[in-house]
Amino acid sequence: MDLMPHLVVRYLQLGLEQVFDAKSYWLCATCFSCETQCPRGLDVSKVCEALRTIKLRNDLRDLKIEKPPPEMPQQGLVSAFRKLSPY
Amino acid sequence: MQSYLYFPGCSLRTVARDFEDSARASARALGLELKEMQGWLCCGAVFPNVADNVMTNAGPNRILARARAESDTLVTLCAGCHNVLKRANLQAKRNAIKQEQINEFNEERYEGGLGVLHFLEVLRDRVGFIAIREAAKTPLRGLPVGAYYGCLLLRPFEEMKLDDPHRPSVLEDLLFSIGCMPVDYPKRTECCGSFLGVGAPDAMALLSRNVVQAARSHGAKLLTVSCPLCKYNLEESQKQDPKASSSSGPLPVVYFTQLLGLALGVSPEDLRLSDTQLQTIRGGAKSTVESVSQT
Repeated sequence: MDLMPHLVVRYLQLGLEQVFDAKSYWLCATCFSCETQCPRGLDVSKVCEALRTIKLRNDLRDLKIEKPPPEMPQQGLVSAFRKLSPY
Repeated sequence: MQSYLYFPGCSLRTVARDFEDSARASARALGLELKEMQGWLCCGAVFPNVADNVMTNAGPNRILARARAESDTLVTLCAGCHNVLKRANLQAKRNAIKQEQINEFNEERYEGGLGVLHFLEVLRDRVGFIAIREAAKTPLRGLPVGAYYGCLLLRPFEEMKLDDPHRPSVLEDLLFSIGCMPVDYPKRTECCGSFLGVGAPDAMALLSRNVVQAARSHGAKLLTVSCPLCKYNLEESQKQDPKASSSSGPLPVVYFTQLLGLALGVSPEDLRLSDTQLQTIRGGAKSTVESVSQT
């Protein structure tokens, strides 16, 4: 994770668009840990999802999976397509 | 026999048959029937975090509408499905405008009125752990189990309200009632990596391995979960890292319903326990009893 969650938020506060070049928000698995622990009550999973969605909708980039992990529950594949497709 | 309407979900019908079968068998042993709801479909796996996309709410709301036609409560097993259905159910109550959009699209109206319960809530609040303790004919005495909650069962807390998000105890309480010795370890409420296994398998493996190592170093002989994806990630991360598990083999992962069923006297075949899992359970329970009697 190149930018820690608090830095992602700081970049956004300062309006720095370089935040989109970071890898961090692609690594957010929406586990809601941050928002449970954040003393300021920030919903970091929503922030990351917003960044991802803006990027995905701008680029109209679809998730392509060459070879899905064979034993993975569908739940994992459906989640990935939901989270990483521009809809 | 008391009957509960029940939503299986996609993973429980394929890779996680052991979860469904063990849950239904344990429920039967406790005098409950889990009756499969009619016309169920995929819940969508994740609750939409993006507010302007209503489409992703169509699936869960269809499920809720169909379940409401049959009953006033719906029981779920998979933590992912539970998260989606419970939050969609709350949204129906809290956001009338959005709900109207969804209903218009679905042409199946859902206006709330359903209670979405996780099977753990049924066990805790309807059956009660004291009753389970009494029904446990063959308790797994002293088995050191690491209860793994993960994310979706507990969070977002404001909506899920299943247990304390920082120090949950429902799985441990259940394990105590069937004779196990749950192990207290850090990371039991941290993320296993979820869907990152698709695009970023290394990140997933790192997160899952942290959980496994924390449980192992605190004395757990196996892990218990309530989510097929958690189980997959925890197992997969150990396969990719033979070094971490070389000393004593990988830490087996079972569903809480498999341990419950075993303590209630259900046969291991009906619970779909593999030989390795069964050996670990039997060995772990016995060795602790022996070490206690020696001292």
